[in-house]
Amino acid sequence: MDAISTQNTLDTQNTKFEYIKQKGLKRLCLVNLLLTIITLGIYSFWAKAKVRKNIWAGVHIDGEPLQYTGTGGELFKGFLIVAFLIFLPVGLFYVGLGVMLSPLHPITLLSPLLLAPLFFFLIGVAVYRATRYRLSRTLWRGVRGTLNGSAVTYSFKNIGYMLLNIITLGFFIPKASLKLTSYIGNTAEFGSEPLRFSASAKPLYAKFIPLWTVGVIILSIYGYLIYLVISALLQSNYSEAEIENIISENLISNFHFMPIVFVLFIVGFILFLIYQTALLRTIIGGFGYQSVRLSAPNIRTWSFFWLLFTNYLIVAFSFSLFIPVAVRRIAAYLVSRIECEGKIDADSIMQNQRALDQSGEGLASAFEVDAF
Amino acid sequence: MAIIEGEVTYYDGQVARAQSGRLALSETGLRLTSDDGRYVETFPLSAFELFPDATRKLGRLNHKTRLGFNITIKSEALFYALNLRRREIGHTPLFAPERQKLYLKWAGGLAAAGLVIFTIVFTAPALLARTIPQETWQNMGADVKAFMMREESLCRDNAQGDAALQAMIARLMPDGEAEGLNISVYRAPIVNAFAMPGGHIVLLSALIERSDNPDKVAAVLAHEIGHARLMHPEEGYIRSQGINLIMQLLTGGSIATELAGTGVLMRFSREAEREADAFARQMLLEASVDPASLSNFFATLLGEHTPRERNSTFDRLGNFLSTHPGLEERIETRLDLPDEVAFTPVLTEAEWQALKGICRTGEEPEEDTEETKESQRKAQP
Repeated sequence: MDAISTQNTLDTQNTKFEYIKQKGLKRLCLVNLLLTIITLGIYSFWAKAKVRKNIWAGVHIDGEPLQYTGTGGELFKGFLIVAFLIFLPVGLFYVGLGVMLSPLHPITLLSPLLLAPLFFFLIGVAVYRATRYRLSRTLWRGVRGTLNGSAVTYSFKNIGYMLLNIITLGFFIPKASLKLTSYIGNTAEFGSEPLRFSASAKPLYAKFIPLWTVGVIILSIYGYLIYLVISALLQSNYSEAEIENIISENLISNFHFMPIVFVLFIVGFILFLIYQTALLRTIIGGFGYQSVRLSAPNIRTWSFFWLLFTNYLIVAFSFSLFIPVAVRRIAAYLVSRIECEGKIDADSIMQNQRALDQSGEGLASAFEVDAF
Repeated sequence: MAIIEGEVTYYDGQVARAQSGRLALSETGLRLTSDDGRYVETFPLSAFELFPDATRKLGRLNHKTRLGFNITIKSEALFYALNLRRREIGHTPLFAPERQKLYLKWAGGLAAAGLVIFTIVFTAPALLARTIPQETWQNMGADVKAFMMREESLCRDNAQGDAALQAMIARLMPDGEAEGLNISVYRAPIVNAFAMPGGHIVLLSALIERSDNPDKVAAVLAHEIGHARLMHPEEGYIRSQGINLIMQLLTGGSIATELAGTGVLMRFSREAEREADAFARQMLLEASVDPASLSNFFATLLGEHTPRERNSTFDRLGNFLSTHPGLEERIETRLDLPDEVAFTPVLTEAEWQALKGICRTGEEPEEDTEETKESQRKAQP
């Protein structure tokens, strides 16, 4: 067990976050893989719960570890409920459409688009409900958390901000990120005490505007190329060979754009890292609990890049087997950089009274928006 | 009798305040007392799970059902004593009452899931195929045919050939029995024929051109009519969609489950082929066409395989994995014929020649190429 942070955990002035690795995660990854293969994938729910127990147990607040109490059975049950109540009827709808209109009818082929608004709505619900489930299964000193807001409200906000992001060509993204986090943060409770979240997006825009500008330039170049191809296609008689020729000719004749696009991508990636670390600092710094205010000034661009790069190598060279190890490294990176002003008065925190959901994350799992 | 006792801190799951106390490990379980000696509670060892505690390098007992009731062991002696009885901690006997309820729930859940899967795979396809209006299947089949045959040309400009085909159909299905079927011939260099939803049947020209007598063509046609009449394409479509859906829902479509789903479909497909073969033999018999023509057709196909190919492991494995029964099995399956039954060729010689030329519009037939011979060897109706 390696102490990531070596600061004194008995600091009496301020609450202390630290991450202490638990043994056995790599071995767990191997066992999970084997059992998942043997059970044709069904064990993955239990595997996920075991990985979470390990990762959660490394987070220590004032020397006390978090405890994850969720089970694979709950995750599996949640998945089955969603599979049979939502995805089976939707699947039957598609099959029915295929039978009634034919599998090749334009309406059948476009039917996934017909249900897209429903899925966007369900994704928002999934994110909020999964967060609530995970908080309710997270114990610290024997008390658990929850979200007391509405998953439907969160989902409508999510859709609204998504539309604003589209209309503003992404300029609203920082504000939207903070507003969605704010809804979660301000409806969250841990034990009997509420969490607080407040953060201004204005300082973030200094880091976001350069990134957004590069993004708009790249999009404009692509838009120009697409315009050239479409206008050439409109003048052709649409034979397959001709379409391919038109596309390749237009791309080749405009090849001089490619080095510019490549450089813009590199610059954009660096600007993205700068923005992303600023966003993480802002989000963590926006949270408060009792008299405690959080901050994370040591989340820096270079160290964050190195974390992502080494994580990429770990995942690539292990053929994705060690994804949980990469996730734990992210958790350790973030937790060990959280600083607090003020100390949690644990003695005054009572147990949260909200009833526990009996199953969890079915929707999130189905839409693959669940994290570890 | 207490075996060993040590210092602990615990959380009661009601408040986040840490409480100090002492935990005694006895033969019957654990006894928790507060710092001032007040009795708190007694627990069986099976009520807890033992976890290592990273900070203190000792252990933590987490209550399995009273979430939040945790005891941190601070005494090394107690921790090691607990470790010695590790097998008892968190262990609930297999048939303990608290487990029985869980078993019942799982059994109920599995039974319900099994019922849904059984319905989707076995019952629903046959029922739904016959419930959905025939017109719907016909429209769907027409679309599927248009898509599948988009690169082949329909043979429809040869009046004599078409008349011969109609004569064959009338012989197999007299008195308007062919109603609802749409039988057509497409020019293609592969020996094959297939039935699609809605009674659409397609014969490929190579099947006709390379047959040495019309009865074999009639046998293949009767086989496809069998598929159409028994609604195999419709049932197969519904079943494949249902199985695909279940696999996607349960596992997100891993390779292993794809294979399992395909295996189930193949089993049904082989059954359907056997049913269609039996239907064809009966239809041929009733039309006074030799039912052995079907076996003869398969024998011709088998003759295209070399003996080495026939006996190779891959070929036998191929039969096992195939959507069709093995050729030998299909050849050996023959009807018990009634005594003194007389068969006549399904077409006259002139009609047969006309049918062979159904796709010719003044052009010579194609030469045999290696590609067409190869496809002839592989294809089975």
